[in-house]
Formats: sequence, C-alpha cells, structure tokens
Amino acid sequence: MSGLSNELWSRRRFLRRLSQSVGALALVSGIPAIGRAAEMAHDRSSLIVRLSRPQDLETPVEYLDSSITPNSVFFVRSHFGPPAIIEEQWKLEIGGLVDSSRSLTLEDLRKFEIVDLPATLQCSGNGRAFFHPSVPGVQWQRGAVGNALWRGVRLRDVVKSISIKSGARHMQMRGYDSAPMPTTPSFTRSIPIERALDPSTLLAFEMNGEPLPVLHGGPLRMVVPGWAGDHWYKWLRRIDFQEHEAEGFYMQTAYRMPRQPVPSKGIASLPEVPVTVNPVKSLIAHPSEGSVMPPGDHLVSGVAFTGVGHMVNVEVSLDGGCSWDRAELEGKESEGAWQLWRYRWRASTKGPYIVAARATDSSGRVQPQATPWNHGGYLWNGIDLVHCEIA
Amino acid sequence: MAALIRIVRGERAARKDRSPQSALPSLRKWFVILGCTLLLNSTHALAGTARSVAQRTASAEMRANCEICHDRGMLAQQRLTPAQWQAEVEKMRNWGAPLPPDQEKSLVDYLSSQFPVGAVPMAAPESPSVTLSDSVKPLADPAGFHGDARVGQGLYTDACAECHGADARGKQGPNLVQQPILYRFNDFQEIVMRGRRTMPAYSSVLDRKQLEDLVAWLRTLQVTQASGVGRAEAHCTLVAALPLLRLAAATTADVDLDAAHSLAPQTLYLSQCARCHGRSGHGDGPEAPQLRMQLHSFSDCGWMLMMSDATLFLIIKDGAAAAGFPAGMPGFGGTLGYDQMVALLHYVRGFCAGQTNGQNVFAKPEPNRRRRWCGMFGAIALGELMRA
Repeated sequence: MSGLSNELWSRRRFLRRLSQSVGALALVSGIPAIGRAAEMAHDRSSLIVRLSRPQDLETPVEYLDSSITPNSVFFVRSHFGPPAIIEEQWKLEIGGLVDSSRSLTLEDLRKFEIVDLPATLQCSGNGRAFFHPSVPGVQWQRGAVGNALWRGVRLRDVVKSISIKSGARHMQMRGYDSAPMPTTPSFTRSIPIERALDPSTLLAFEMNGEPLPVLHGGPLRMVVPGWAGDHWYKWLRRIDFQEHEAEGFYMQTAYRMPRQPVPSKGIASLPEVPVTVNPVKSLIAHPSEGSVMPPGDHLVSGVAFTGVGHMVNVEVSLDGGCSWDRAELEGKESEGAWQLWRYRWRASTKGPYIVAARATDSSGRVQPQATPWNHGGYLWNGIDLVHCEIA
Repeated sequence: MAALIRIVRGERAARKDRSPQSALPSLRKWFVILGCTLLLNSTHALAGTARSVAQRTASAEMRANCEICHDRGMLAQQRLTPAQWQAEVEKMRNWGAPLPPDQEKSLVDYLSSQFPVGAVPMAAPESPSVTLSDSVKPLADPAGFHGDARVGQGLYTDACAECHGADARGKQGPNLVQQPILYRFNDFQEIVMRGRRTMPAYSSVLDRKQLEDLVAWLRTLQVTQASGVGRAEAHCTLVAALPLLRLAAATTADVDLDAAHSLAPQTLYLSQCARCHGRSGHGDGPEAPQLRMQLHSFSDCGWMLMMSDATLFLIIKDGAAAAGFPAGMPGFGGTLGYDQMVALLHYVRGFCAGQTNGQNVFAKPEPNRRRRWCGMFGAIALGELMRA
C-alpha cells in the first residue's frame, strides 16, 4: 500500500480519536446532550475493508450507537459481488411445488400491503476473527451487523394467491449474482417453509427510506428478522417451493454448525444443522478500543439484539467480569431489531480498564464468555470487551 | 521505471506518424531507453537478492491462481495451519483455480509460511464508503458509443473465449455475464487495454471501436439464460480485420512442468509464452497453428542477435506492435512486474546461449560488453533503416 493512503488512514483515525475526545469532554457536562455532539463530530464515512473484490466491508463498531445504521456505512457482504441489473428487465419468478408458476415485476410487488419493519441484519460470520484456533473465511470482528428500517411486502401475502402443494417443506432462493467460474458453486440457499411464510419475512425493496442499494441486494432482497444474514438473500431472482433443502455447497457444507459444541480439533462426523437463529449478543460502541479518557463521567453504550424474543437486560462490568452493573435499555423492545443501551460510568480511579457487556434475552439466553468453537466460525456472541484507560 | 514508461509511451505515440524524417529522433529515444533500463537494472539487482526464487515463484502462483477471484487481502487476513491451507487450496482447485497439481505443494508451503497461525493479524485498511459503493454503479456510456453486438460476438470468440469461456461464464478468466464492469465502459477499457493481474494488455490487438462491440455483445448475455445459450459462435465475420488474436493468456494448466523448469523464469515462460512460442522457443506451441503468421524461433540466433534487449523488453511489456512488428502478441506490462519481464527476456536469450554469448545487459555486465553493444546499436540502426 502506498504511503499516501497510509497517511490518509491515520488521518481518519486521528479525526475519529479527536471526535471521541470531544465527545468525552461533552460527557462531563451531562449525558443526554452528548450523543448528538459526538455524532456531529464523528467523521462517519469509512468502512473497514475486509475484502475489496468482492466488496466485504465492516462497519466500525463505534458507529453502532444509533437505532438505525445509515446505508452509507452499513456493512456489506456477498460471495460473488453485485450483478449488473437492468431494473426494467428485473422480475421475480416463483415456481417449484406450486399450482402455477408466477413472474412478478417490482410494480406487481408494490400492489401488496407495504410493510415497514426495523430489523437487525448480522452476518453469520460476524466475530469469526475471535475464534481460536482460527478458521478460514473473512475475518470479521465486530461490525458485520447493522439495524435498518426495511420496507417491502410480506412473502406470505405474495404467495397467498398461489397454491403451494402439500409436499413443499423448503423454499429455495436464487439470485442474479453468479460465480466467477462455472465449476464454482452458485450461492443458493433454502429456508424452511414455516420461516418463509412467517409474517415477519419480507421481500424488501427499500432500506432506510432509499431504494434498496445494489450493494445491499437491490432491487429486491429477503428480510428474515432474527435469522443470520445468509438467509437475507440478495438480488433475488427466483424462489422455488420444494420438498428438500437446496442442494449445493452453500446449503449442505457451508453455513452449518455442529448441533452441540465440539472440540476444536474437530470431529468431522458429528451431525450438523444449518445456521439459523442469531444468538443473544451485545456490542460496545463507546468507549472505543484503546481510548484514553480523563477521570469523570463517561458513557458506556452500544447495541443488543437476539434472534428470538427481545432483550431483557444488558450488564456492564468494569473490572474484567468480577462484578456486573445493570445498563439502561433504551426505547421499546421490538422482536428482530436491536435496542440501544447505555451505562453511566463514574470513573474516578486512574488506570487501565476492561469494559465488558453481557446481554440476556427474554428466553433466558445469556451471552457466554466465549462462543463454542465451530469450523466455520459462525455466530460468535462472546461477551464484548473493550480495553481503555482513565488517565 | 516511470521515466522509462513515459519515454516508451512517447515512442509509441511518435510511431503513429512515422516517416523517414522521424527516424533520427526515434533512434535517440532508443538509446535513452537503453540507458534507463541499464540504470534500473543495477537498482533492481540490489533489491532482488532479498527474496528467494522459490518465494517469487510461489508469489507468482498466488497471483496467477488465487487473484483471479480474490483480492490478496483474502489470503493475507487468514491465520491457518498447513493442513487448513492444504484444504483451502484443494477446495479452490475443485472450484476452478487453474493451479497445476505439481504446483500445489509449493503454494501451500508459501501460504503456510506467509500467513501462519499465531502471526499478528493483518490490519484491515479503511475506505470511504461512498467511493466503494460507487465502484459498482452503472455509468452512462461515453459520447459516440456505438457497439455492434453482432461484431462483438465474433471478436469475443477470437480474443476472449479462450480464457473467459465460450459462453463468457468463466474458464481461466472469470465469469463476465451481468457484471457491473460492462456498464462502466471506461473501467472496462482500462482493464482490457492495459491488462490486469494475469490478463495481458490488448491495446495492440483491439481498438476502441472493437471494445464497444465487445461490450455490446457481452451485455446481451444474462444469468437467466441456461449455460450455453447465447454462446459465441465459432464462425466469425470479423476475423479478417484482426491480424492475430488467439493469443490470450496461456495458463500453466496446459503446460507439463518438469523439475528442470521449476524456477521462476522457466515457470513464467511456460505459463505465459509457451502456448504460442513453444516449450523450446521454436514458435511451435500448441496455439501456433491457429496464428496467421509464422513466429520467429528464439533459437534462430542470427535473428536474436539483431534483436536488442531493449526491443525484446518493449515487446514483452507493450506487445509486438509497440516494436513495429505485426500486431497480435499482447503486452504483459500491466500484469507482470519489471523483474518478471526481465526474467523472461533472460530466459528467451537462453535459447541461444553459447552461440551469442547467452548474456544480456539485464543480467550482468560482461567484459566483452563493448562488442555486444556495437552489435545492438547496429541492430537498432538496421531496424530503423529498414523501417525508414
């Protein structure tokens, strides 16, 4: 990499650090005003490039402190990169075990009841870099997650007029994106029919009030709240109802986990199940890793989400997990969408600190110290940790 | 290097309106080029000792096989055991990476040593999000764009199908169907004309209008078509307009590498040149019968003596047309590094080793350098005279 781009990065980092200290100073005068001050001071225009071809981009965790993640900094993930789509030619085909197959344009879809739904999208590999021993794949750390307001139509409404045959158990999804080599498996997956026809499953064409950007699957993607990102199928072209799960690598080999924890040396023959529901998880947006702050009041804040039910509790520890204090959950709970939390840290003693956050959901699931190892590095939800210093 | 490129570009621009009067300044430029390459060579020799030949070979393998689909960051961010790397490389070979079986071990060794378990994780760069999302947005075609898909189909068959597959769904080069680059003509032109990674430059093979035709044809292909639908037909109406096309990057996949050819220059030659020029440099490679011209043998030592190192370097870098030969051979300057091109030059000279001294100015200065320099100047002067 060139010296120039190095310089630019460090400049951007410096600006972010600077804005953080501005935020920290503002904190002393009272918490409620700070969020906005920090927001304005932040230079929120960069994503972490995990891969440039295809683009796999991670949101810096410091940005995850608002109920909606803006499209411009929403994480990006795909296997083969976006296809070129001529929107006038775009159609959604519906087939398989149905009485008659259908072909729908975007205009046809907009005739169904329009639904707005806030929901958290998390890549199933978010946190893969934290697994030991390390596993192959994009080394996501914390920010392959975001919360957006999705607008679309319910899949169940769209297929209501189509009679699905009784043998159909799964719905396979195909997209306009295609693999670089004919010998490379296509990215196609299926979801169980009950989940496909759940009222929260949407065919979405808008994201945060904008037409769905092409990097995020435009013109049409699946929204499957509570389930990991591999079900939120992008650039949707065709859905088929069928008896069995989709064939192929991305359904039968990838995105599967052992049903129970396995030793990391690996026992290949244990039965595996598809990665589906997000586990309970909280992330610390502030303070940032490595930040140095003066003694005084500081805001510890972040987001928490779960795949089933809603959040009931987020706790913060400032002593490496020996004691935990309850943080305040903001706003109303909404299944499938994240909630912000905040904690007022009265930091009087100078020294290094490990700030930790631990969430509990309405099913009683608690964030573990570390997620059991699995060979694909999926669904990491270990207690989030940030190292910082009061000086 | 930048200076050399500028001069070479100037040379190419000057060549367009070549006339007897322009021979003299052109000749002067050749001497400047020669001087620059000599200067560069001495710097290069110092830097080059640091990296072992084996590492350079493996690095070239990574470039040729992994970076067709991945950027280097995909490899650099992994921290894997040799067994995990082995599994990944096997998986990718099954998925279409054109890695010859006998190169698998050296690539696995290289990846295991470069990106091992326990190494400090790579720091990921940051980029402005706007720039990144913009890179896939369709752009309006430039003014005057007028591609003819029917013509493009024939061009595709001759120039691209060899690597990208007859139906453009990828072979050794990646799938082109419904790719955003097709709607960003300037980016498309940049890649095709200058080459990228293992793809050679086509600036001496295709012109701007032909690029428009190509794009027009590629845009007609859709992922919804069954594979094979829209396949470019072998019959091509435009063939006559193209002097020589079926040259696109050869790959190591078709070349039987033996132990003697395991070092970097041989690997490079066999992977990049041998399909046309032949393993022994006689111009009798498997693709040669399809070319509409006879290739000179590298072991025709009288001919090779006439060719200066600067000329050979220019041909390798910018293609045959850049040195005044019939267009056809693409340039490798955008895809091979300076040291790789020099290594190729050296290797090609080796076919006449012992008969023409077998040395060249890029490798090491010789005691009898003066005599050979005279020979080279003579060849340049002769070449200029013939052109004039």
